[in-house]
Amino acid sequence: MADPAYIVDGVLTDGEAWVGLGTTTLGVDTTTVTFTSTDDGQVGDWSQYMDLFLIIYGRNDRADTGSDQAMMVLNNVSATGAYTYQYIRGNGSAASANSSRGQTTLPVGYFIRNLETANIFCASTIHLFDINSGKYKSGLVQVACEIDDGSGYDYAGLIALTANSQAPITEIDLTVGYGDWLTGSSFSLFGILPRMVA
Amino acid sequence: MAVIEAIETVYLEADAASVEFSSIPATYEHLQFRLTARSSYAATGQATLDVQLGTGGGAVDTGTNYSRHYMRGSGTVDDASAATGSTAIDCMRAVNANETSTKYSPSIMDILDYANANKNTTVQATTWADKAGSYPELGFASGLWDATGAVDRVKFTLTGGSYNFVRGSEFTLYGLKSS
Repeated sequence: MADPAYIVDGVLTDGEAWVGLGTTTLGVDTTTVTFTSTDDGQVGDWSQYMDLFLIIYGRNDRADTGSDQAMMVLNNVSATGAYTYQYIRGNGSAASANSSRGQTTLPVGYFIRNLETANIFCASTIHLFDINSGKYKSGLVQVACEIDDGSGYDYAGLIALTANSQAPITEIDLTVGYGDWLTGSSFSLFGILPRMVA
Repeated sequence: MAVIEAIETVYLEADAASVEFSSIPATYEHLQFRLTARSSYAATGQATLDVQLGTGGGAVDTGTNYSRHYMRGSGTVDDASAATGSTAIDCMRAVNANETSTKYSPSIMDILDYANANKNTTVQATTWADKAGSYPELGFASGLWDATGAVDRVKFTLTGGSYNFVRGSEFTLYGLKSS
């Protein structure tokens, strides 16, 4: 690991505000994909970032048609009441919305099952805000799950998230509701810096 | 040259009626605001987070030159609304002061091709106000400033300046370049 790019010869600068923290592309089916802060003061240490941005481009290995929801857990916290969500989505024939409190995980999208057309992957982009503040942590997710079979399990939508915790985010765990993430699914994480030099 | 640069971060150390970014350089192609905001509004519902734009080094435009469309999910309700001839783009929300004190509303707002003096200015926004007392609100919006001036000033208020942004609200402006 190296020093953050905004430290140039020991001097604080404002360079690239979005910093790539890594991409995981699965070589085997995997139950849980985990990102963890390195907590070492270097590039991978999340304590320097204002926000995080995560891209999932994935598929579910479940031997069925349709799609399943993917779930996110922050900091290994999965207690009852830890999370709140609200979504709005369309499935091709209707728009719908719902919210729930008292959740043990956060929904972050829908991912195609493995008996659907090969090579289709679904996408979610996840923004996590002010991850080192004393605020409850919040997020916005854009969902794109296009199965192209008229099953009603494809969705375009938005999801809003609250983690009822003031703790800084240092770990993200991602699972699908049933089965594993399929080989080839990819996950990319970015750190977003604030303005640092007045 | 960086593709995305942080131009300015404002972190409120005290409650404030407005947050304003001025002298925005014209050297980027698009702008993005990322923010977490909380309102002093303490009655039913939640405050709208409004945006006004300015050009030419002057104050923001307070005329009836803004319009917007807004879609939301609020509990099991999904609906949409529109407004024209408005004095601001009310395209985001800020969580109510009756809510848990550590809740702040996250929002992202993009201002496209903001420095082009031949195009009216379009914005898009996504926002989330987690309200426990009644339904929370997840929204996304488009907005228009019906003027062609290059945007060099952006002002945020709550319900037309009726309420304060609460201490701890944070706004960062990013500039996006493709080359």
